[in-house]
Parts: sequence; C-alpha cells; structure tokens
Amino acid sequence: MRQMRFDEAIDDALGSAMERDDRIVFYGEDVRLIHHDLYVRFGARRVRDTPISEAAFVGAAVTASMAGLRPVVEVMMVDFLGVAVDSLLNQASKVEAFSGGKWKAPMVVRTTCGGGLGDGGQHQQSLWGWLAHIPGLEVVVPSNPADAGGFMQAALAREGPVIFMEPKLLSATWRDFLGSGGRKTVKFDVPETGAKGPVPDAWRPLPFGRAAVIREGTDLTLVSVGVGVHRALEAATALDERGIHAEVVDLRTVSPLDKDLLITCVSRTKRLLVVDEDYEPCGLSGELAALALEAGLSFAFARVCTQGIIPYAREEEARILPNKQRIVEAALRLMP
Amino acid sequence: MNQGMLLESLNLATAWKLPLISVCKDNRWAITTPSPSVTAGNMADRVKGFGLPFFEIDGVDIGAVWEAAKKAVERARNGGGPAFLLAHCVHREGHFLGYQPFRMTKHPVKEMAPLAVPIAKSLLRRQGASPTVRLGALGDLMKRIRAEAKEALSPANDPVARARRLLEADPTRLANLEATVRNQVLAAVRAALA
Repeated sequence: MRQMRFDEAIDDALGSAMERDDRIVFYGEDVRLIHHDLYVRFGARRVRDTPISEAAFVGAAVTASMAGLRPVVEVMMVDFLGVAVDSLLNQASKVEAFSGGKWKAPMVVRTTCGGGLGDGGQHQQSLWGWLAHIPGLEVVVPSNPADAGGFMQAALAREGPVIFMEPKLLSATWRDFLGSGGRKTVKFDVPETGAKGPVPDAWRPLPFGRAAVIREGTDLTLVSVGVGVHRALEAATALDERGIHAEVVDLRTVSPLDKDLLITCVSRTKRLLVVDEDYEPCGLSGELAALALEAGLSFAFARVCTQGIIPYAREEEARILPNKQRIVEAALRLMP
Repeated sequence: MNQGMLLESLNLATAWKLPLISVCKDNRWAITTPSPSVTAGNMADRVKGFGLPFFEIDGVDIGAVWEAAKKAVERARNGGGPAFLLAHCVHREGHFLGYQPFRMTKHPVKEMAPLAVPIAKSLLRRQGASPTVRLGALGDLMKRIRAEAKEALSPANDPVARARRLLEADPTRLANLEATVRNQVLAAVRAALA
C-alpha cells in the first residue's frame, strides 16, 4: 500500500494508463500548469492547453473519441460545463444508440465540483444529479484517494462518456490553484481521510455501480457521495455518543446507482437519510427515495442537501452545505 | 474572446443594431495559458468581420480608454448600434486572489518546493515521452512563470500610477478628484451601514 493525496492518486492513475495506452490524450484549460507532473512526463503532444472554449474542446473530445482516441478532457469546474452541454446531452450520450452501435464516444470529462472554499454559487455546485439525469452518461464522484485512482482507470476503460467529478475540497492541487495559500481569512474544513490515504501499489479499475458500506450501523442508513460521505461519518460518530448507530454508505457512482445495496441496507434499518451536497429538488436524494419505495420498502426518510444558491461568505456557505449539525438533527428526527 | 457566445452576441447585436459595447481587456493570458498560443488569427480582423466599429487602445492609458468609450457610448445611445473596444492590458494581479504563478514569483522557495518533487519524478519515470520532449515541457513551464513575474512586478504597468503622474502636473485638479472619490467612498460606506 502506498499513501497518496486525492489529487495525486488521480494523476498517478491517469499517468499509468497513459503509459500503456497511446490513445489517451489529456487536454483542457491550464492543464499544463495544474497537472505539471503529467505535462513534464508525457509532453506537449499528449497534454495540451486549450483556449477558454469549453464548447469547442468538449465537442472535440466527442469526435476524437469516435475516431479512436481516448480523450480525457478537463473542464475546470462543473459550473463551467453549461456552455459545452450540447456535446454531452445530444451527441456523446446518444451517438451509440443512434448509430446502431457503429459509433462510440469513450471519453472522460474530468471536472471539479463542490464547495467549502468560499468561491460562491458559480464555482462550487455539485450538479451530479443534473448530469446523471441524462441516459448515456455515467457519473463518478470519488470520496477518497483509492477510489479516485481506481475509478479514473475504470472510466478510461468504459466504452461511453464518463463524467469524472473531483470534489475540490479534497484536492490539494485545486485548493492551492484556487488560492488557498493566498487567502488568509478563509478556513477550509478538509476531511483528512478523503484528502490523503492508502492506495493500491498497482491501480486496478473499480466496478461502476457498486456502493460501499464504509461504516456499520443498525439504526439508520446514511447515504452520500463525495465530501458528503465524510460529513456523514462525522455525524455518525456524534450519533454514536447518543446511542444511535448509523450505517454510512458511499455511493461512489451516481450513475449507475447501486440499487441492490440501497435496498438491502434500508430494508434492514428502515430509516434512510440522504446527505447530498447537490441541490435538493428533483435530484439524487429524491431518486434514492423513489428506488427504495419502488422496491416496496416501508421506511422513514429525510435528506440534508444544499439549499438554494451557495453564497460567497464562507461562514454562510458552511450553513447551506450539508454539515454535521444538520445531519445529526435530521437523524434525530427520524428516530422514535 | 474564444467563447462561442461572444461571436453569437456580436452577430446578433450588429444584425439588430443593439446598443452593446463589448470591451476586451487583452492581457495576453487565458488564466495561466499564454492566449496567443491558443488563439487563431487576429482579434481585430475577427471583430471587424462582423462589421461593427472597432477601437484598439492602450488599456493602461485611462485617458485613451475614456476617449474611445465616449465615442462608442454616444453612438450606441443615438441608435448607431454596437461597438467593440480592444484594450491592451497587463496581468498585474493575476486571474484571482491568491493566483498561484504570482505566489511562485514572490515566494519561490516556499511555493515551488511542492512542485519540485512531482516534476523530478515525472522527469525520471521510466515510461513516458522522450527526454527531449520532457525537458521541453519543463522549459515551457519555467518560461511561463518568468513571463508572469516580469509583467506583474513592473511598476510601469500600473495604470493608476500612470494616471497619477499625469495629473500631478495639475495639483488642483488632482486634489478635487481625490476629494470626490473620498466622498463617494464615504457615502457608499454610510449607505451600507444605514
């Protein structure tokens, strides 16, 4: 086992895939500076800076993947994906179906997500629910270094488009690039076990749609993804002190979802509390409730999501995002 | 300049004769990427292709910006349609607060140290591009950081200092301007606290 930072694990897994597969190219805004390790190792042909033209370079990834490359295209923040969405919504996700399987778009959109950095609601959204809504797109949101590297390798082995989301609070590279070193007044509440941890000596692709029970518990099931997993763990520890034993499930991929594990867990605890850093309406939290209801389960339900527009002020933001206190309160309301 | 939205907007504003004034503050950087390396053709030609008035100005010269903007604003207010100002600027404060390349230039030892290990590893790893290609990439990164430093630290690039030097020839006007600005700031603070 090696120890790696979250961001280091992703670049390491991507680098080791690039070693073996010449078809993998990596491009996006400022990638040469941000991922200087990959640029210095693989050079200008395979690691390429783009203009600030998301529509053009995400579109180029669709056609490059159709023509036989395995592009990894970085959209700095998922918030900036808006201008490029047609390429994903109407092209990459549909091309296999509408060409009768003749064309495929095996591309990876690498993008950062999530808050906790005081950067406001145009730079800190999660939006995985919005993306997972689209059939033909797969959405990965790792919560720790081992998953981050393993899912990057898995994403590169898929035959269709994958959105690979990096919670930027877990990434030292992104915290630093976004000015953590230059902003003395902002405190970052970084979950340690997500930001750094053990990774396998050799990367192996992890299976999509396989959630993980990362904490055992019998009284209620906390389900989350990304940074929310760590907030759920903090809350579970606090609930323990009150004699309530919460189970914590890390979904790991939002599309596909691990329906079977969800049903197994909820049928046992009969209480489901979703912690989702994405927006509340029409999203992941409601989807999980629907899946459990469709399976005929009877259970108590609550959710702690991001409510409304994320403000710039760091302290205000901390109240809006799912946090330990809100999760504990919601859990207590579910208990008899 | 390289967002499709801009080209669509220039087309629509010109076709509909809308009172739109677009200002490009060209500091030749696309965040940390030198924009000439990712920009095709010439920006003046690109804008002129839409058939709207085009002003190319020194963006560090406040007076020149004001003169050009005045013509464009008057024209737009009189129903003359859109205009475009290309202001050549400098990258004095980086792209945002805590901008990494500037921290590197100000505190090279502290800020470059975390980069040194991964870069050394990348140079030495068995698998990867040829040594020439790897050294080329490293040289490019170093060149970029040096270019940023030169621009940011040059006092000649401060537009406010430049305007002040001109105004110092007219002390009464300078004093009046400073009093006006101070009063505006105080009024805004009072309004915010009220």
